[in-house]
Amino acid sequence: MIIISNNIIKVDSFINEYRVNSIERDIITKIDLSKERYEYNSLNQLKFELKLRGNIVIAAKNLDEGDMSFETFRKSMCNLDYWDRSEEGGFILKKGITPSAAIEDISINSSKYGTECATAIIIIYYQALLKVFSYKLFNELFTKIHLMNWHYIDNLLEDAGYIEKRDDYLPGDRRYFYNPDVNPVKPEWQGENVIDIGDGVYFGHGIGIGNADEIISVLDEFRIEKAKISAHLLDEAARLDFKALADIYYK
Amino acid sequence: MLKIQNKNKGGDYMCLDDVNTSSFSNIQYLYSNYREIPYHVLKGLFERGITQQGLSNEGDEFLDGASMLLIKIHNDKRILAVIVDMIFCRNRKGLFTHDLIWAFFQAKDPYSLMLIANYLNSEDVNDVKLACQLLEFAPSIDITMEKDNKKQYIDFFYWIKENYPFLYFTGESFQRTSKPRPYIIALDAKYLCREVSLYTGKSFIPYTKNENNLLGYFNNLDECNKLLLSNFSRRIHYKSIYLWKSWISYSITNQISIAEARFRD
Repeated sequence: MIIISNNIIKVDSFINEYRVNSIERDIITKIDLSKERYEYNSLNQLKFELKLRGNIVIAAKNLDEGDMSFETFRKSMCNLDYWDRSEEGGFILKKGITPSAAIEDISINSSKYGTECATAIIIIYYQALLKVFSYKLFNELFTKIHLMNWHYIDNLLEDAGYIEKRDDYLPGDRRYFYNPDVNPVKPEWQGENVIDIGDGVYFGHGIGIGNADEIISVLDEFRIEKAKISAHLLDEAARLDFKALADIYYK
Repeated sequence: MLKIQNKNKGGDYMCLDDVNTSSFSNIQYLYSNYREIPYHVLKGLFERGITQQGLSNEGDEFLDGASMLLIKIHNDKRILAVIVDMIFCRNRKGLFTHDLIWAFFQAKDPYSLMLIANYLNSEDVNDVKLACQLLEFAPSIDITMEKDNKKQYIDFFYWIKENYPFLYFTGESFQRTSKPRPYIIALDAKYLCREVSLYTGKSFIPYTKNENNLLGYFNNLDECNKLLLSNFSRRIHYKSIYLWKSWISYSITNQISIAEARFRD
């Protein structure tokens, strides 16, 4: 159910602004049919979320097509013209470098980058935000960027670190495949952070794009000998604080 | 490079010539042959590695690998104290701790959390920060660090003591979430004062019909009331089983009223 300014909204009034079979239409339909109350202060706030979710999905697909490699933190790599690599394996925005340029460089020079799945999700979020916000606004909001899973996440994006049970799962959500019987010499495969890109398909850095069975099949290869429990998709998702970001966008 | 030296009674004896040279090949050997490496050899490699920790990234990676194997394959919990010290030492230097932290929690030993809690009393603010971050899932821990550190330590000690029988391991890690809760209290079991399996969160003995009936009401409560009743139940059970049996025989509404009144006093 969609509630805007305390009124239940009929989606007919704006759903046709979006292409048939688009991610945005898929989301509108899902939340409209849901028993959960999706409350917004304005239609613009909802449209912002749709736009950002759509760009998260695009950024995920673009990352899959790029050449950024999957590396553990110990072996992570980045373009040192734009980033300093920390001792922990994270990437810190270099002094004097524009945040937007550094985030764009990850796409432009993707082969110079290598990291693990959680950090890849953060990169996707920044790349999506760069498509939605103006360069000026992006650079004002994110003056310091430290890319290393959820550890040094910007306050504006911190909700991306909390994963919890939801009534519905939507394209643009972060989901997690858990691999409890992971081989201890391969801890990087203890799970896989993925972006839901719609239609039961997910993108996870290091695995690529696939449905749940395909991702589970890959993770199961990294289990301990005589493993008893298969990897599985958790009934949880993490989401950006779309409303707070929308309020900044429209301010 | 790892090499086989003289055989002893225990079998082949392996030693690292020099952890700083050919460390990459040592790591590969460890990862490829860990099934064949006997426990005492792996332990020896680990102990040797500790003396040289921090000297190279590859050496530390080897140490992390040995730690994970000792804990996950050999269930060696005696190394946990050393691992915690390594975590905090590396954290002070801004070095990589991610895999060691994961390995530590994979030991599935709630009492070992006191090894981390010890660092709440550290004079180094980075130690206290990290200890708070790792133990944040416990309500007694204040991540803002406004609470007195000694009080935090004592409160955490009592939290573990009270809840140990009802804790179960979730497997949550920093890869999955920014605020992992590696252990969760099975509130329903705590309410009934029934110990649970650390691995499943389920009671070792099936619930009786009466207990299932009680849980039917309990599970429909909101989180606040579940916490209230489970905490009160544990405390009164500890004081007097007679009083507990009397209290739990009341309706759920009366149980809540009594618990609220007692906690208010």
